[in-house]
Amino acid sequence: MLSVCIDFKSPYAFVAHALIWELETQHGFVIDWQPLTLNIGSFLGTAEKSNQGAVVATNRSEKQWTVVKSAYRDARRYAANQQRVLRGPLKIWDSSLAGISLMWAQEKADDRVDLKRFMDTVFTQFWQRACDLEDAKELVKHLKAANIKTAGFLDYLEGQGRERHDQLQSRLLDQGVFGVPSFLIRDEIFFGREHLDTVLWRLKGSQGPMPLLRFPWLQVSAL
Amino acid sequence: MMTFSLGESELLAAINLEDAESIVALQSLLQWPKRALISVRVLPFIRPPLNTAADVPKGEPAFEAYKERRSAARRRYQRQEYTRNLERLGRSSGWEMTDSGVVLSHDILIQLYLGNASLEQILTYVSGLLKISQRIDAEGVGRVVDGLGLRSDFDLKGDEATLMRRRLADLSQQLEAQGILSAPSLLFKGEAYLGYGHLPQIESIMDLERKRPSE
Repeated sequence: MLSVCIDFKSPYAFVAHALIWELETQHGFVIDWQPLTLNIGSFLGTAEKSNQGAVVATNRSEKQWTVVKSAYRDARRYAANQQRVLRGPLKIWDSSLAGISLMWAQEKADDRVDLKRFMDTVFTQFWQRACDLEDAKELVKHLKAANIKTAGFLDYLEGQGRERHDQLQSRLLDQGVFGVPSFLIRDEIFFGREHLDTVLWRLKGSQGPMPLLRFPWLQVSAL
Repeated sequence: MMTFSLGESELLAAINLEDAESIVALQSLLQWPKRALISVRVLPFIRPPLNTAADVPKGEPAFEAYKERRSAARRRYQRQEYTRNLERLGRSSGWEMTDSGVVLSHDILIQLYLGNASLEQILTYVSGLLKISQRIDAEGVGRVVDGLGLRSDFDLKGDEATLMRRRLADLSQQLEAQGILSAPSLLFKGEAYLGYGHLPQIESIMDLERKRPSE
């Protein structure tokens, strides 16, 4: 069984999700998607920007800003390689509702294609600053657009879904999952899309030498 | 002070010999098919591991408890990845370095860089280090260097050691100014790439440049 932890507000999860889906669509390993709602302020400090991009509030150190800027520069390169738009968020979002929606979508989708469509839409729109992850109504809209039933969803968000989400956060931390995307195969964890080759190698029975790390880069023909 | 600069057709790997992933990075570069088209250089980057959580202002007990649990999760993960890197290196156990071993072994990397050593020569040196024992000290480094025919009469108790430490610190500072935050990292055409796994992207840049019509 392969579980993959993601958070819609992570740029690394954004540039990885389509590649990760290939483990299922190309290689037949069904993915159990699990939301890991990051508390970014706990390891990178907090910041809020105006619509014009000026920092209006922050407690970040210079080192934290350096790391954040480096991470976004890197993620933007890979997003561009996938012809995706990646606009940095203006605040640190609470993505737990979106995470609960992911659990719902996974459970209720009649077809995995619908789940994939839901995830891709939320990711794509959020990173275009066109999706409010904290707005339940907006999440309902995306579920419906992906052909996923929504009856009972709002109750789930506040009740059973929230409970399951919070328990999951605790369990994942205990297992050693601290960032996204992370891949879980039994007790083993792989953090980052650069491990995709190794994950696939493990899923296929660890034949031959363990692969080296590789950030997938799509070959685009030069014009 | 050593002033570092990288040519347009050079790829730099910044490594830390205490770190298993850095050694895997060297192996990865050795196997890299594009290596024939580019000059691969290697320099040390010595900095404590990045810990941005340490800079976060203290918060409520629940927030602090979360930070601690996340740190523990990170440590647990790092142990798993360390074991995988040892497996990639074909080793069942790791190694550690004494303080003087760290200084001398990394200074030798600088000397190899200045002498335009090939990646093969650097890996021969590194393999020699890793064969010493599980604890690498300056004496052991000296023996490896001696075996390679390089100078090995270093005075690690006097001014030379101070000079080496300063050189390593200066170099790491210069690499930081180029955007390198941790080892292993790559530097190519003024862009820093954290981790060695970015070679496919670098290949793509090289391919595009080769296809670009000359002016």
